Amino acid sequence: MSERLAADGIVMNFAGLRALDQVSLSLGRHEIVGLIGPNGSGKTTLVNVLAGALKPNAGSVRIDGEDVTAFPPRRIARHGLVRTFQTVRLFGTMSVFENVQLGALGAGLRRSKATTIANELIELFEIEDLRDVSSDALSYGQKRIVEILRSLATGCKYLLLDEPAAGLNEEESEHLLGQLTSIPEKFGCGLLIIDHDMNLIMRLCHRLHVLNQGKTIAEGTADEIRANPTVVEAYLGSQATAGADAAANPTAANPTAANHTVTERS
Amino acid sequence: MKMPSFAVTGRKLLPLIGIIVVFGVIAVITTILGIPLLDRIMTIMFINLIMVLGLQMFMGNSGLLSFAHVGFMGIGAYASALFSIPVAAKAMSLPALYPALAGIEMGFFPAMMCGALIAAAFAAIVGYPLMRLSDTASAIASFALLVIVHVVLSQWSAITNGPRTLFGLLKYTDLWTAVTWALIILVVAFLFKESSLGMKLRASRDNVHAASAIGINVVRARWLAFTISAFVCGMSGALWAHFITSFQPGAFYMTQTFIVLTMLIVGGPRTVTGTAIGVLLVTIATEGLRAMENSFSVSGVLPFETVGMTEILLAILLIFMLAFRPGGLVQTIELGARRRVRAAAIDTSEAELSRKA
Ligand SMILES: Nc1ncnc2c1ncn2[C@@H]1O[C@H](COP(=O)(O)OP(=O)(O)OP(=O)(O)O)[C@@H](O)[C@H]1O
Ligand SMILES: [Mg+2]
Repeated sequence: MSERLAADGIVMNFAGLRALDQVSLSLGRHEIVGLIGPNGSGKTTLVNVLAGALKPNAGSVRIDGEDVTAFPPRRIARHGLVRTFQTVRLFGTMSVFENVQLGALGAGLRRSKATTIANELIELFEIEDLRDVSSDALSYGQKRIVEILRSLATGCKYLLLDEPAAGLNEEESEHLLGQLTSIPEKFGCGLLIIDHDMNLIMRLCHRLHVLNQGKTIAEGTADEIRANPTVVEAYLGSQATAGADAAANPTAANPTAANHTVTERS
Repeated sequence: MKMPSFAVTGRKLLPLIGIIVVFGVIAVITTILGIPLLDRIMTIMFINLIMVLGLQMFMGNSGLLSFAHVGFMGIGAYASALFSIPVAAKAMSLPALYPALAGIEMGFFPAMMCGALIAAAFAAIVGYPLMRLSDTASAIASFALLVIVHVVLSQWSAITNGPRTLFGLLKYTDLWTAVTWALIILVVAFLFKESSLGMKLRASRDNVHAASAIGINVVRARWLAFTISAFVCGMSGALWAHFITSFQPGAFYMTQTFIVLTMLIVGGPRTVTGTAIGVLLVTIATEGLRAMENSFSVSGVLPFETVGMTEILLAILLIFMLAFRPGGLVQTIELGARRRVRAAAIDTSEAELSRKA
């Protein structure tokens, strides 16, 4: 099938550090794929490469067969690949509605169409009461939702979410899970999700891709990954069992945003 | 779904209507009083309002600092003069003028439009590479641009009369010409801010990476805004030129740049209402201080020279604003729209609190 986002043999070097080493990953338009791994394993770097914010030292990124490796982020977005940021990036002086509307405007749609799309999304995700609130005034969880809506408003075919559940409480992240699940069928949009919340990841994703120190160490379904000894050793550790019925204690699998000293480059 | 979107439009228009009424009333009062000095001060204030609104359209929405715009005002002034000075007067005003231009004589409106178009065309050409630079680099480059414009205006004697005074313009601009255009540009600046282009620009100002990540062409948006704002600044130059009627290139250099930037920064570059208020307040402050400066220097009550006191105090005002309220008096929510938006934010956080409880 050519309707895919496909990264092939990506190598990304930072001064003296190989952040990504021959990573290949693909995402279909009706799939939810999880990208997991310990802190510093290269997940965000991979998203930056896919979205055009970083140019890889080797390898290629293709969207529906077209090589977009050298494209700037703006053109990649116009080709249907949109990402969110590990540290939420909203348009702070503007309202929730305007933020979502801008997604559609960014995709080149007319104002009236953008308005309709923004209203529909806000209604669909049941945040009508936040519509005219300045996005600066939102809680962290609300900001994450708005960032996702803004991305969906572009009509993207592939959406990359960098830790959408970080900083959310249990109830909020359960709510998010429900909403993310339906995105592929409702929007015809494949999801690549990075998160440390194994409860969310295991229940949401059709497939998982595990990175460790820039290398792919495993790929497969949630069950296969949980049973994979390499993954358990490198990342899941004692969480493997927690992951099975992680609903009991989802935060255990979350090494939290506190130690994210990596400043995002994009 | 129709109702709420209409309500929002109504609410967004309120600040604009308010500021138009305020400035309309100022114009009417000035006319009724009929004091020539006040009339002159107010006419220049309205022309400055156009200039600063032009600058706001670019600077306020894109978040990029520009020192170049007074240069566009100068281009608008000189270019419109070139088209409007009567043929008979041109031989005197511009003795070395190229024959091809010597026969041109237009009415004020077409001359102003030509002047503004030339300013915009110049901005479009030089702006294209400029908009690719980073924040700091583009600010410095814009300063270099101002210097270039100034040197060209001072040296291209054939069409500017060089550093000497250019005269021979007819006085087309009066108070109400300036008022009419200022009110039109107020509406334009407001609509521009709310337009798709304005929204994309503000998005890039708030977060340039997020703007690119949703497909916004930031360079293109900045470039279009730069060009449009140069057009407006060019118009203000034409209006000013046909009010003052004789001037030198120095009128469009450091002093004017400083005044214009102070007006914008004090008022609040991100809002149209703030920009307008900044123009009003800085005009009042400048004129008040200048009156004091003059009476001090005439009466000699102070033991030191007071020449230049106005500029110094204005500079101190600017420093205080930058230190204590860097976004200007009216920061991001237009004056008059403030309470509703704040209330909405508080409502929801309260609703959330009660939901959590
Ligand atoms: N712009 C950069 N310059 C230099 N090194 C970088 C840069 N971005 C990331 N790195 C390094 O690359 C490695 C991978 O970082 P990355 O942010 O991709 O990890 P991650 O898997 O997203 O981690 P986390 O779970 O903490 O978000 C880290 O060692 C990081 O320090
Ligand atoms: Mg990361």
